[in-house]
Amino acid sequence: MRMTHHRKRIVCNAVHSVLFGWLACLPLPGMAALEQMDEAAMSNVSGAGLAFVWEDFRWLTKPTSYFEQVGSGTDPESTFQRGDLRWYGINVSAKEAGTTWTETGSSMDACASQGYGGLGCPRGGTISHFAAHDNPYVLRVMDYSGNGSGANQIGNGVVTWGGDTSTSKTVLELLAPTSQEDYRFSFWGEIEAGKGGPAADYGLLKTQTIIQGSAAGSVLQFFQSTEAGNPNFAFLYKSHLQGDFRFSANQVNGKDSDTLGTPVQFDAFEGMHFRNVDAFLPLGHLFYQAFTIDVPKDASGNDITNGNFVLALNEIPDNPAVYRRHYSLAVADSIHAGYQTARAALLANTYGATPSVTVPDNYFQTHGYSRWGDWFPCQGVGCPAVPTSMTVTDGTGAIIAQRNTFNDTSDGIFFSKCSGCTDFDAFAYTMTAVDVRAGQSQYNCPGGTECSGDGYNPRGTGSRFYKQNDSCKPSGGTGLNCGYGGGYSISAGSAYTNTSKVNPQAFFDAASAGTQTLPVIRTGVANLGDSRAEGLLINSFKFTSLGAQY
Amino acid sequence: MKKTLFFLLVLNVPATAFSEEQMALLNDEELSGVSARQGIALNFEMLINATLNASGEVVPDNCPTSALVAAGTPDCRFALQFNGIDDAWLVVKEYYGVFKLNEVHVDGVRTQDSVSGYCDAACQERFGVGFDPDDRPAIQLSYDHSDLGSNTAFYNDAEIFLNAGKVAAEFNQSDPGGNIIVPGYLRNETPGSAIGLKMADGVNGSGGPAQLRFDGKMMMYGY
Repeated sequence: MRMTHHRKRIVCNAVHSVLFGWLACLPLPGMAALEQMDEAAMSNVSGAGLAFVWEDFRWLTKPTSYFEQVGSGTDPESTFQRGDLRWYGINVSAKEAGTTWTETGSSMDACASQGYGGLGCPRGGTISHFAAHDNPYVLRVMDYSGNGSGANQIGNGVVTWGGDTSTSKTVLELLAPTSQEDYRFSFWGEIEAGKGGPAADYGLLKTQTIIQGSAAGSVLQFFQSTEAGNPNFAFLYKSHLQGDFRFSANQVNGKDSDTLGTPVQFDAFEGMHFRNVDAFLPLGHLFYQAFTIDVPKDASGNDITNGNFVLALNEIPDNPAVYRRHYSLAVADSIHAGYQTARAALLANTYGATPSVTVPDNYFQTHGYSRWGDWFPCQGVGCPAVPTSMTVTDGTGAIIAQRNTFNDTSDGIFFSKCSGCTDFDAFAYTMTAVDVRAGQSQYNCPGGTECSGDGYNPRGTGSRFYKQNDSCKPSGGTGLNCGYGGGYSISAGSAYTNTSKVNPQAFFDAASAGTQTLPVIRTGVANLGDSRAEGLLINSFKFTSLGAQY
Repeated sequence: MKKTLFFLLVLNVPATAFSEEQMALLNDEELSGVSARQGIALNFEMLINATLNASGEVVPDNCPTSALVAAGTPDCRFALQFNGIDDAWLVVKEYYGVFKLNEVHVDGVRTQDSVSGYCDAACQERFGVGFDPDDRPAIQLSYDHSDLGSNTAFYNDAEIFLNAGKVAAEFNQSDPGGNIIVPGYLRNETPGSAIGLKMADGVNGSGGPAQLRFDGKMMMYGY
């Protein structure tokens, strides 16, 4: 049913309607996520709001419908042109069995496989509790204030740009649930390459992105900037994504296509996987740091009128009260204080670790992190003794922590071949443990030479390759001289073989050039292990648009 | 007699835009003949500087031309100005779009009368002491998918087309006295931009607006 047209030339009012419509009707999954805030500690509360509940929810975009994000060409040499980059079929659905991007008749094609942990199937069923009635998305106005603590105290963390720790400011905020059912967010993408050039250079790269997990605890806040001389509209966003991620490109034979805009079916297993991810990114803080929009300035502070605009997260001010809250150091300030606090923060979230200092709660509001995999075993200062087994069990025999095997698909970072493809050769050195503290032993010899004098005994018999039934017994009790992960028996089983390749050590002048026989693990999955980035601190961030005369 | 009600909900449309094509108000007697009287179904359509051509593509419509506006802009726009930045506008050029909801059902309901198990301590802090979200009056939006299978390729609940061709800062043209001669939102000193956004369906928008399906229900209540 088509209605009559209603137009306004002054479209700004209509924009409000569009924004309201989006806000009221959509779950804003991209904005979801983020850090759970201890609001009692963060605020002197007054306010009320609207609650939005989504039950049995699913959002499916037609697989041929898309967003594209490229404006006009930026220069004559640019290969990216308008519309060359698109995201199709945005999906928010449940994790269980579902359907692909292709359709037969009026039905979506069922997934042939769930892949690893459900990451093989882009679209699922409905989400029972995307936002439960008693833990909904909330849109509200709140007054937040610092608790008046001294400049040398962290207090509740709230402080203005000028260092005021007691002034109350009003905030409009959109909060995601603090806990919600895990769900699947996915889309497929298309990049046109070589457009406008020779026909032989033109091609399409079609890819698929699947994210599974919870986006609980998101925080999006709007308020007036407290920065001196910049009483602008300001906002901050704290992103907390938890779950699994997969990026892939291999298409299923018979359901593939090299035609623009045509949905395809992607292989259920191929690609780059990240399991058990927990990533927090705080972009702004009440009230001393926030995003504002401006135009570029020259060195004298005058406008640069080149048509560009700036989206900037301001530099934190040179103010002791702000410094104390922003850095939230767990130890007395020194050249090592940032590292020591980050190390304690790492240990605070690591199985079996015993950090020697307690990290202030506010540290986890001002510092981001990106944790991939379960980070087991922990090794180094503050960690428990490194086990010599693959697993650690509790009193009942249940596994509570486990090393990643070379082809582990349940934890950490791994790459997988496509279904039916031949195995590939994975080649790796065992990880070298590097202790960079002054006065400590340091291991920095990828060629394996000059290490024995430092107490380093390469794993296995005369080589450092990760291979079959290779064991190492640490000497000196530290375990470090077996490389990271300590002493335990590696077994790649029948996947271990030899092949003729150039030794990567040749690139460090530590081996002769040319091919030689090397030990490899012939596998369909190569697990790279786990990763930790802790203590991510953003002092300033600036995005400047690129204007163009085309 | 069973009827399906279609309401035209129009926001921010001046009175002069209403026409005889508007649907007439129903009286109580007519309303009493409506099935499922607990709720209503409505269609919502908003076109912003847009129309559909014969091929079903969304195209800009009624945008100013240089002939219409001497100093003018050859496209539809919206512009934002920020507090403290008095001489510049953030201008979205070549701006037009369509937003439609098809047969969305609106009901007055009550939330579940028992806990979901998803409200943790942080959630309880959010509501404060004494608030009970169970069995609470709420407005509900949903779509009737009773005749659809979970795997049916149906995407007609919502349609969205958005074209934001270029985004750039444009500065006011002022005289030496500081009086604005041509405001920034009408100027085109930066005709290009690497930033743009389009939401549509089909190759180069040949399918018209992007199409979406929403299962389940959305409820809203205040606290």
